[in-house]
Amino acid sequence: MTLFALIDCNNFYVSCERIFRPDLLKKPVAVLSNNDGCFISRSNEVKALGIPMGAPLFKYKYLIDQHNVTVFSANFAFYGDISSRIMHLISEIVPACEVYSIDEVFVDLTDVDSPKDTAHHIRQQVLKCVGIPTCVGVGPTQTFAKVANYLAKKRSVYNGVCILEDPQDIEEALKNLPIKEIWGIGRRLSLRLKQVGINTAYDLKKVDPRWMRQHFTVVGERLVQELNGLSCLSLEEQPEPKKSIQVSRSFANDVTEFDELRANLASYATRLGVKLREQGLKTTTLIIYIKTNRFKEGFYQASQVVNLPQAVNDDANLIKACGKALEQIFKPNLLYKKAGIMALELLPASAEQYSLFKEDKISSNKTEKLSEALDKINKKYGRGTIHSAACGIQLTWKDRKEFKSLSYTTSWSELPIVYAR
Amino acid sequence: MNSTQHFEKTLDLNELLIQKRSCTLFITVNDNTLSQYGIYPDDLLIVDQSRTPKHKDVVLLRYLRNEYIRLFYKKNGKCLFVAQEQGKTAEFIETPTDNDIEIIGVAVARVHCFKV
Repeated sequence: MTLFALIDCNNFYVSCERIFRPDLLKKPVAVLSNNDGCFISRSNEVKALGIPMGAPLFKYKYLIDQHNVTVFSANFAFYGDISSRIMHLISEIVPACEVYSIDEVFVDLTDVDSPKDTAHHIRQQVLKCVGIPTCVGVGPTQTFAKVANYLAKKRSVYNGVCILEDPQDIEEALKNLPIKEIWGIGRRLSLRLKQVGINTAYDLKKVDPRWMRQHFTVVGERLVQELNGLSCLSLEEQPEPKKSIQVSRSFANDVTEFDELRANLASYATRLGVKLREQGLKTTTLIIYIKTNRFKEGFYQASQVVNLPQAVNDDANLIKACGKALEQIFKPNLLYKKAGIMALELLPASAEQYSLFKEDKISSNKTEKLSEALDKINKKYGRGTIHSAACGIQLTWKDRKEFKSLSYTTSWSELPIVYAR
Repeated sequence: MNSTQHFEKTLDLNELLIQKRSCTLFITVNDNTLSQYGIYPDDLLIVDQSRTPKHKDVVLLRYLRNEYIRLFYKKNGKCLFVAQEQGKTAEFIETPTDNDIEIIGVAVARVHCFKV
């Protein structure tokens, strides 16, 4: 039987901010995004105040002042670095793992001797070595791992690790799980399911997969099968996460040359651009990662965070950023197996902010129009009919956030300062 | 062996100073109280969070919501965290009943840059 685990960081951005601010442990802390507009991460204390996710700051200013909430501007360079530390650490414990989003990793525990101990070990190591608290959900399918993770977060009795293996436990859990909490079920789908009387995960499990396929495509069918314990999703195919968008692939043949790797990344960047534009989003922060075959000697993996001076979603700028990042992490003479690009800090394309200094402004209007034109051609004649060819500009970075913490792990001038006395 | 496949690598200080990249922090020291152990203000300490301290290691610790660098001693079954201040010894003592001290990591190297 298959067995998967999902490791999900608790209130990730807030937990990052607390690493070097022990005075903030157990105090209300929140992180803001989009030029300090909205809440994107809240500590449990802030959640208890009733401030919802994504709410605008001005609406809750009185609560912030009244309860002395410490507020940070999002520091994605720092979060990205902490995220890649966590991913690296987990891949050393269980090599069969797949980054799902900035704060979530799926791990294949199928052939692991004692899954429970391993789950606790991962959790304890991430806390000790990186300083981030996590919850681990374990189950026979990835959908169950996600459900188990939800329970581990909700109920303290699990002590951070919830294992759904026993059929009776699973049934009990599914009966109490609202449909909207199931992986891959968005607001629209959950409304449609409710209209036909499907309210809990248990209701959905009982549905005939063929009926699901007819009404909700193959995606719906797989979901029902996963809820019945039949693993349909491999480590590499999962629904799109909400917090970040990524494109990654394993190569059919190992790649050694810089130029070939860069060309692959450029095609992923193009794909990412399409995804961003389809959803009307732009990004200011990218993580680019590469790894060699984990089953071969001398396993190497590296990632690089790129901060863009301005939010973009056009192919040219995404490709340039990839090339620049790859130069930082590429090592010659290795057999690369996989590469990926992830976009963090997703902003609505309409609300993007220009940076203060004009020379930073990436020539966006022209390239946006170009990307739109390319999208149209590719839609008509098939993906990849026409694509961009180049890489390489100087990327600069300007701070435009009021309450940003220091870049403790990525800037020589901002290292934590510690006393002995 | 194909000679074009062989590359002489350049020396990289990371290999010498960092064992576990994902568990390593750099911190700056701010005072003189560990100078008798060769640690001076503005020195860079490389801290490995995955290590458990041994007797006489320099450790980064958290105590009452603050972070400190201290010398770690084991004595009569107790754990001491020591610094020297103006000739006097400052120490935290950890006992089974008072264990609010959380060890974040062990310093594995010190980098002292000369003012040039």
